[in-house]
Amino acid sequence: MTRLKKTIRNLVIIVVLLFLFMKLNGLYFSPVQALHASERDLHFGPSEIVHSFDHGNSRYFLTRYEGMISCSPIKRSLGVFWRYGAGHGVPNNEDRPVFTSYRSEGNNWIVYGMRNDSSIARVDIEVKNAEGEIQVYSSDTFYEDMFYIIWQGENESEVLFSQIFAGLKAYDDAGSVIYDSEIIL
Amino acid sequence: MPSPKRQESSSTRESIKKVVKRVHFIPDRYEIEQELAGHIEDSVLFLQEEEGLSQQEAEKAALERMGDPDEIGIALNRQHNPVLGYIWYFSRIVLVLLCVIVVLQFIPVLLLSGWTILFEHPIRDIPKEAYVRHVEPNELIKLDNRRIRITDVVQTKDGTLHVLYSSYNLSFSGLHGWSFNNLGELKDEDGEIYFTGSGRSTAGLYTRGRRSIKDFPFDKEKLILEYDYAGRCFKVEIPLGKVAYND
Repeated sequence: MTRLKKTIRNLVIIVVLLFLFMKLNGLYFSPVQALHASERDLHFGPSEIVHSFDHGNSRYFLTRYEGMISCSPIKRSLGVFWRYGAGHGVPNNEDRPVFTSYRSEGNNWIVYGMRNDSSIARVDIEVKNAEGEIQVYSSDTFYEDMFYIIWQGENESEVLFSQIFAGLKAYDDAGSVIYDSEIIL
Repeated sequence: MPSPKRQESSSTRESIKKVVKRVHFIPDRYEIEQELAGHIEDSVLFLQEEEGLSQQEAEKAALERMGDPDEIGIALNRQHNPVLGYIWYFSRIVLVLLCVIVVLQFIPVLLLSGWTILFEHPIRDIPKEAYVRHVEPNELIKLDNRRIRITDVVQTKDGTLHVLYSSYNLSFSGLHGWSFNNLGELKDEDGEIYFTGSGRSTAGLYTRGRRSIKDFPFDKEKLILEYDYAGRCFKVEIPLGKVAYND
């Protein structure tokens, strides 16, 4: 067999093995592919991607699907791949002016949600830090009414969200409180 | 009989080095060096035996007959194309690495699934003497890439109804720790919904599971599995047959 034929044979086998390796490890070349594959395996979606942003080693997708919202992280893996991950949503409670949910990963905490009242211009989340002091994190950026607030805090293995959550407030353009809640979900 | 290996002279070594320097695909250089040395050696022996030349004269003549080392090197470099050579060389390394990784990852998956197929069957948790009715519906449910087969439905003397199923996912998601335990709502023919009392499922690519409902009435003739969530739905009606024995 000539070297050219051997090379072609090797490359064909590499493609097959790479496919198996990617399947075995839930790896995709594109984060959107990974997100939608995750959703499909959770029997959900494909959801509509409203916004995506990078944080740490992950790309987060704010999505919505059939009255549900989600903020799913897809992790970068081995430099060129994106690893199959979370992808399920929570039903948006439209009775609340602002509906929120949260997720955590290590020291990263994310509150995300949907404003159901379009007069809301800013959302604040109040959380306790390790010393018990209240910290306020805000967002005044909305993507088709969806928003996220991200911060670094205590490791998720050490505290529950219910232990650090102190309050959620939503304001209108004039700065008046429209919604004040001690419930996050 | 192969000729005894002779010590190459410095001029032979230099000529060979000049040739191989022109070959840019380094992994082939050693092989070329050996081949050229062999040819020169054969030529020297021939010249000594046939033409009666001394060792030094024979070597000089052999190198002259070989030709210009630079030209030979350039020709050999064309033959041993470095681009193709390196692609071939690294493809071998990548191939071996990938083979090892895939085999190492695949073996536990195959073993786990093989174990499930051969030995793990939740129906064995239920003593046969406790059966009052048993059907094998063999119903296949398709949910995205997942295939769920309802293999057995067993009701025992205490009224517990066990739904046994196997499941696998065409997208290999079982490898990533996700298994499926949701058979939807379990109802009878009158629409009464029953909540799961207990259940269990194996892990891996191919899994088997059981969902059990306590106090399922003996007079109900059908079990209905109904799933309607996030745009997916299925409905499976399973006739339960007659109760064979009940204390």
